Amino acid sequence: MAMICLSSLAGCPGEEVAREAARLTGSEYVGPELLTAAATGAGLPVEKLHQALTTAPSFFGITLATRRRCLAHLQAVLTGRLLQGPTVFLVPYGHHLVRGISHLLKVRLYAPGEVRAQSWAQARSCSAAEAVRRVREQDRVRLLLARLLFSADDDDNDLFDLVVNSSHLDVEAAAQVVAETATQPRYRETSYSRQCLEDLALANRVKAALVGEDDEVEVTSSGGLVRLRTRVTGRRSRRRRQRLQQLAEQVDGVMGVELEQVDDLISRITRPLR
Amino acid sequence: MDARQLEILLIDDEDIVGKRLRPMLEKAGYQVEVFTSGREAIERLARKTFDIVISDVRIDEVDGLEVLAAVQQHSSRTKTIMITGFATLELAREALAKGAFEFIAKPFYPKDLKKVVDKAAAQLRQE
Repeated sequence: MAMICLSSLAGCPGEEVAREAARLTGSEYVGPELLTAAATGAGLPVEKLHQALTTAPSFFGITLATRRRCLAHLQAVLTGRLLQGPTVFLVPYGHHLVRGISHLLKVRLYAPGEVRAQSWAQARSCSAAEAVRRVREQDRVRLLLARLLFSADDDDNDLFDLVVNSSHLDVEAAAQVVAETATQPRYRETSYSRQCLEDLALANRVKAALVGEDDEVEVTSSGGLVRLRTRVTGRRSRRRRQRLQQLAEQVDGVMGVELEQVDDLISRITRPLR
Repeated sequence: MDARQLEILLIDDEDIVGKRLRPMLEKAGYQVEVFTSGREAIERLARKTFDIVISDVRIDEVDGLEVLAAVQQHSSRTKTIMITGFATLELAREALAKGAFEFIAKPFYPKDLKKVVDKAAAQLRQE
């Protein structure tokens, strides 16, 4: 059985569809409560983590380093959870956070803007004009953050295996479509996809352990061997690289660490400005 | 299903793969035929039905997915396990959609392959 990642645009019934799809597939629903666990890992209040994932970049706003820290911990908590069993999850940017897993069905729930604004107004008892404004703002921030944090166009349907227009279906019917798609053989778990998920979970645990030291460190893993790619340069770089290596080696499941240093001149010049 | 020895066809153009896996699978009680040519393996599949087929995805002149199609054509009961050193999300999904039982990335430990073969055998015995 596939795992399911649901991405829902503002004003779509994402949580309802995700819960119903979980019931139909006998999976566990994982929702925004995961943010609490991620915030604990990041050592931040959950409100701050929520802000990091939902507010547009601004001069006096949350720094890019903090956003990356939040994402690293969310990724670690999420992939750790996915290893535990069949899951339907709905977390911000979930479809960007878990990549390359062939038994993960990625679903986008969307509807035309006016339909979403109408649902928003009904659910929150606000005026139609206010609902339109809020839905547009959420769309704008979503696209901005996806570009900033994942270098991706979040409206690109190629990011998803299935795109469902919720204005044409009620919650039960939409969940039924999702659940039926998840039973297709192509989304079955294999030894390969399981290994990919285990490798990704380990890489994410390591990244979460290192992100406080180096928020740009790239981490991959294969069968317990972890590869770090860092742009750490400057006077204390040797000591800092050693620290990264030590921290990585302490993570449960790591059997070996390989560290590559990238001397990126542009990054070195612009880093103090960020 | 009866308790007869299950028959396995193993296809990999690297000699060493057959040499390493065959003794292990025979020791576990399976009858094994090994081919290094995809073409010859497909000819053999046309003459004989195997319980389990283990095929590399990239073989010399024949694509492993062609082997999978040949297996499906002759016997939908046969469990096909695809192995490859060039695993991708797309390839895994394509193999499963075309009827593969399992998809394993190289390198792997022989014991891991045996676990998958045993799983296929258990399923065959239940059918």
